[in-house]
Amino acid sequence: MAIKLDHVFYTYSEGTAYEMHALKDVSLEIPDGQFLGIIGHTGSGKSTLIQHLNGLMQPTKGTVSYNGEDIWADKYDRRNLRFHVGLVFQYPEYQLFEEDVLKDVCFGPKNMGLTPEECEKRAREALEQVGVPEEIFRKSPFDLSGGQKRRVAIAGILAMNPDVLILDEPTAGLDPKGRDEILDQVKYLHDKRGITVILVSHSMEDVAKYVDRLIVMNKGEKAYDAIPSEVFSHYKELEKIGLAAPQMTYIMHDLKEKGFDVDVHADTVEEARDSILHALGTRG
Amino acid sequence: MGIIHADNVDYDYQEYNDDGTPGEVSHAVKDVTLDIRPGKFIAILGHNGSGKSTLAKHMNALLLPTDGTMWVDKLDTKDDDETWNIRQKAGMVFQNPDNQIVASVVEEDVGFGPENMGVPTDEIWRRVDESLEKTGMIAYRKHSPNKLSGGQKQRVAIAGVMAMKPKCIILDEPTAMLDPNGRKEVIKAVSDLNKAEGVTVVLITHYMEEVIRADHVFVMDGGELVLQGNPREIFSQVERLKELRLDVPQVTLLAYELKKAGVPLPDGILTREEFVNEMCRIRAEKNGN
Repeated sequence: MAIKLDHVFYTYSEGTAYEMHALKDVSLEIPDGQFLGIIGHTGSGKSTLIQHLNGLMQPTKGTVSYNGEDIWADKYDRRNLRFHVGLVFQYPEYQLFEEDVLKDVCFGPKNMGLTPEECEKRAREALEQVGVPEEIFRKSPFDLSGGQKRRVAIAGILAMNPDVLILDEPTAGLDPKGRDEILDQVKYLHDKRGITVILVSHSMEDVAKYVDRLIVMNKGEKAYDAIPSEVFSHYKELEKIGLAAPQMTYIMHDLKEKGFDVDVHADTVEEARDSILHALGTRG
Repeated sequence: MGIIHADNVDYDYQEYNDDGTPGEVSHAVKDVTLDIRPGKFIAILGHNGSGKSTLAKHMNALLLPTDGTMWVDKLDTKDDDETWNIRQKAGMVFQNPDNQIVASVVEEDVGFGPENMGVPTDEIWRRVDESLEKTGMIAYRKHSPNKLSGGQKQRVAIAGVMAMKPKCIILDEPTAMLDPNGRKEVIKAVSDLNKAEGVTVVLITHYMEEVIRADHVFVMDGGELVLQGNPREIFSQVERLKELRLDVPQVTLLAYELKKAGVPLPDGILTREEFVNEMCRIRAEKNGN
C-alpha cells in the first residue's frame, strides 16, 4: 500500500469565525501502479489534496502514510519522500531556471546527492522518456516552445526516478496535439515503468481516456471514488456540483432514450463508435 | 472594407544569439490577407507557435506589420497619431486573468480605460454600471478582484474593455487558464455581447467546442492562413486538422469514425442534438427499406 490518507482534515483559521475546511475527512488508499484521476472545480480542494501526498502540506487532523509509515512522525525524512513522490505543479515551465535544458533536468538528481555522471545519465533518460530530442539539450530552456518547456519540466521530476508521479493539469494551455502527446507519454511511462500516476485534470474527456480510477472532489470532500464510467453514470449529480460527464456519455444516454440499444457506459469516442455500430447491427 | 482588414501582412522579428549577435530572422506572420465584417463572431485556431497571437496583436496596434497593412475601422495601424484611437476601437483581453487587473476594486478596474480616455466622470460611472451588468458582474462591483475566480476575473477584464465602447473585442485564449465553469461563463459573456451589442468578436482558442458557434473560422499554421470557412466546413476536415495539431469536437469525431465504418452520416456534425437526429433519420430509413 503506497499512499494512504486516514481521515485527513486541512482547516484554515481553525477555531475562529473564519474557519474553513479545505479538506474534510478524506480517507483514501492509492495502491502501487494505479493511474488515478482527480477532478473538481476550482476551490474543490484537489490542489490541497495533492500537496498532502508528498508532505508539502501537513494535515490539521488525520494521518498521511507512505509505505506504511506516517510521514509526519518524528524523524521521518520528508525530503527523501519528495524524491519518491514527484509533484509537477501547474505551469511547471515557469520554474525552469538553468542555462541549458540538460542542466535544468540534472537539478533534481544533483540534490539527491548523485554523482555528476549519474545525474547526466538520469537527465538524458528522462528527456528521452518525454520525447525531447538531443539537439535541444544544450539550448536555453527559455528558447523552447510552450510544449517543449512543459516536457523539460516534467523530465526534471522524472530524473529523480519517482515511484509516484503527480501532475497538476499538465496540459493546460497546450494545443490539442501537445495535450495528446504529453498524456500519451505519461501513459507510456505508467505502463512501461509501472509508476503510480496521479493526474489532476479539468477535462472529463482526458480522464475517461486514461485513468483506472477517478476521484471527484467537492467542497473539500470526496464526492465520488470509482472507475470513470461508474462516476459518469452520476452525470446529473456531477452537473449539480459544477462538473459534467464527457460528451460521449450524454450522447449515449440520448441514443438510449431514443430506443437505440447502446451501452450508456461508453465514455470515449472509440467505445461509443463500437457500441453504436453494434446497436446498428453493422458489426457483431 | 470590414472592421478589421489585413492586406498581405508580414511580421518578422530578429532573433539574437547568446552572445548578443543577431541570429536568424523569424517570420511569425506571412502574407496574411483577411477581412472581418462588423458584428461577426470570428474564431482563430492554430497550434502553439502558429502565429495566431502575433496576428491578433496586430489588430489593436500592439504590433505593426513589417510589410503589408493592417486596417482597423479604416485606420492604418502604422499611423502613430491614430494608435490610441485604434486601441479604443479594438480592445484586447489576454490569457492570464491575473496579469490584466490594475485596480483594487472591481468597479475602479472597469473604469480605468474610460478614465484614461478622458471620459467625464458621470459618463465613466454609467459605462461601468452598464459593462458590469452586461458581463453579469454587477453584484461584485465593490469586491476586490483578487478574491474572484478566474472566470470572474476574465469577465471583469471584458467589462473593462467594453467600458471603452470598442467596436471590436479581441480575446487571446481567454479561457486557457480556466476550469470548465469559468470557460462557460466567459464564452457566454462574449457571445451575449456579440449578439446583443453587435460587437465584433475575434476569439483565439484551443478549445474546439468554443468555435462551433462562430460565424467564420480562420486556421493558422507557420504564420500563414491555411484554412478558412464556417465551423461546419472547417470541422469536416478531420484529417487536415489533425495534421495542423488541432482537433474536432468529440461528437464530430464520433460521426466521422462512424461514417468511415459505413454509417451514412453527413460531414461536419457539430452538436449532440444534430448527431442524435441524424441517427434517428438513419434508423428510420433503414427500417423503411
